[in-house]
Amino acid sequence: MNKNKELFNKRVIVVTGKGGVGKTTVSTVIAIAAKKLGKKVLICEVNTKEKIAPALGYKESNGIVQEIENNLSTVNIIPNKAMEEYGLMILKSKFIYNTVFNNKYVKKFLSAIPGLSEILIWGKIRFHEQEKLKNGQNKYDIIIVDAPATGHGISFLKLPIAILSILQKGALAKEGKELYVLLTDETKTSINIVTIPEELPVNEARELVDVVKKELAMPLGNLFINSNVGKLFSSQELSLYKTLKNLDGDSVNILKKATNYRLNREKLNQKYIKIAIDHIDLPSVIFPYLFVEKFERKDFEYLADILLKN
Amino acid sequence: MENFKTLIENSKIIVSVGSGGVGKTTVSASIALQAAINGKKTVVLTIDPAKRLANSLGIEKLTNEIQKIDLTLLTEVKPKGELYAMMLDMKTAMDDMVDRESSSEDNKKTIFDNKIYQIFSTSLSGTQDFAAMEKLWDIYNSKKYDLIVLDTPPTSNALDFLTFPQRIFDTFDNKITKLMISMYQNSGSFAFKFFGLGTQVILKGIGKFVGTETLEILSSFLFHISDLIEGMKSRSIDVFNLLRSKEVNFVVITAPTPVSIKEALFFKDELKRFNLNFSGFIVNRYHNKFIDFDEKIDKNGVLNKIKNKESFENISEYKIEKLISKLIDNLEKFSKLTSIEDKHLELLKSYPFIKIPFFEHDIYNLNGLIKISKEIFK
Repeated sequence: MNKNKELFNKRVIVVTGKGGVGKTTVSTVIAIAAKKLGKKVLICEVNTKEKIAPALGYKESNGIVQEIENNLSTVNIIPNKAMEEYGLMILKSKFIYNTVFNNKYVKKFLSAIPGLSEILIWGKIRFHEQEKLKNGQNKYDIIIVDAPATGHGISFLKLPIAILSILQKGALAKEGKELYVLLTDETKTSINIVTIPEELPVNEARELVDVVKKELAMPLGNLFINSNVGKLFSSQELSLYKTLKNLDGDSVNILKKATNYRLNREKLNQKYIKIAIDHIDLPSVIFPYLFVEKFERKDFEYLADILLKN
Repeated sequence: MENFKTLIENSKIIVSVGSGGVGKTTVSASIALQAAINGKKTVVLTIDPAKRLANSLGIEKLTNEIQKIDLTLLTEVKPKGELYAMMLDMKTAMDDMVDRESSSEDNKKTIFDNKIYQIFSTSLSGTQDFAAMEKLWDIYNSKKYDLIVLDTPPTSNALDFLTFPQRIFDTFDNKITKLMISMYQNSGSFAFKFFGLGTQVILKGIGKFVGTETLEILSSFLFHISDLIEGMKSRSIDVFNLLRSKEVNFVVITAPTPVSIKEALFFKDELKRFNLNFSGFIVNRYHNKFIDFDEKIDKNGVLNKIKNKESFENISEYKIEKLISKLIDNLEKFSKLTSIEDKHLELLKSYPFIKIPFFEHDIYNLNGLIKISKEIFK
């Protein structure tokens, strides 16, 4: 429970990693675990085909926060929408806003400014972080950010900082500075890395950790190792299985083939789990590979229980 | 599959396309390796800095320079051609382009010094696409190679490398952009007074938003970059025409998962929309089946066989039964996985596609890479 106490004490939990490693799954699992701990949770997907609400059996939230369950909300942050809301906030006049932002050339022009959409997305996340209930409490205890898989998963984190080197004055610069303060505040934020126990993803996770630590100076959280093909046998069973070596026949051979395949996959996964743990100095959480077609509520719950027991 | 058999023979360029994490780079290298074995002088261009790819090709590190791969390390075959590899470095490719298209040294220097350019050339995903297209053109026109295999940057929502140039040109056709350029031209700095009242409101609005200083840097950037635009335009038209020629073929790499297949089908549609030659799908990491789906393991038969073995006499029946149940359960799990994958792959059945198995061992050298080539071209 020790390592997780840290995880669930943060306000902003960023989940990042290379494409195809299960960032969205891990984000959902953290959300469900946090909800079980009684936290009020918001999961943010970022300008993507929304997956989380549908996976849990609800309709897409499409840019508007929806409380899908008690203490559990989802949103898909869409930059254009964020830009409109933000512009309105800055300009404080509906008339000027319409003149400026509803001009199609302006829209197109702004969409071409490098990094603008990233900073708007982050602005929106920061807005939710600061949202309060009427009684003054935080509206959300925990905000989980399912970061997009951009190349090495890093430009989403890096760009707002890069942009700050250009922007010095104006509303966005102010926003960027406050955002940087939030993202580097280790009492509030953690950057969590997701990987799977295979060579390329583990190597990329190592690179990612280095960049977050050295270039971004942002606080790291956990390392999530996803999709581990777990052990089929106890050591006793394994030696018993090995005595089957000389046994023959069609059925036995098929079983042996499938079993050996599984054992090799296990071995491969074990090898890269070890490499990941040896080289990445973060608390690690290992999730088993589940032989299911599609993750359902119970699968997320199952992994959430593993996370909570960790 | 006929399409894949003739793919190498009929191509001067093979482009592999797909979303991240499907093994695109490894597959691209395997295609290039097969081509080299077949006798072509082949070069594979990748953007993936993964060390393993370099290692599996038998070199320490892929660099921005083309390196020759030592194929004598292949044990089973004697290649008739040659293999080269390079990693695309987007910053260098962008700088090269600015260098080539700038009309003056001054202009070049101003661009290199511009903060927006510095971010633009290092941090943006679109620039990778630009770099890939630039380099492809250079290498193709060097006429040094029979075949180029291009591993495109991973993308999930569109074929960015096809649409990115257009997006840039659109930006420069934009009224605001033109306004900012002309403003920079007239005054050399940013001053609202040159504009009409309506425009002032708009620019001041944007200025409040991103900061007036930013608009200045931006207008300088746009002004100096606009010097390059004509050159970039004509280059990208050339690249497009090249990509559409019949010597250029596209393969779409996918994993056998619903999300990945859906994306792969989308890529296929995009290729067709741009009139590019789609050769087929390569499904990577497919779980081969161990048993036909309607076939069942005869559990009792297996148990009887074991019980009759002397070496098992001292082991409790319960333990043996438990073990066999586990074996059967494992087989069923993988069989289920295969049937799920097959079900999803139905979506691809009207197109050429081949499957590469999910290997349970690392691919760590040329002889491993060739296992994949064999699966693609068998």
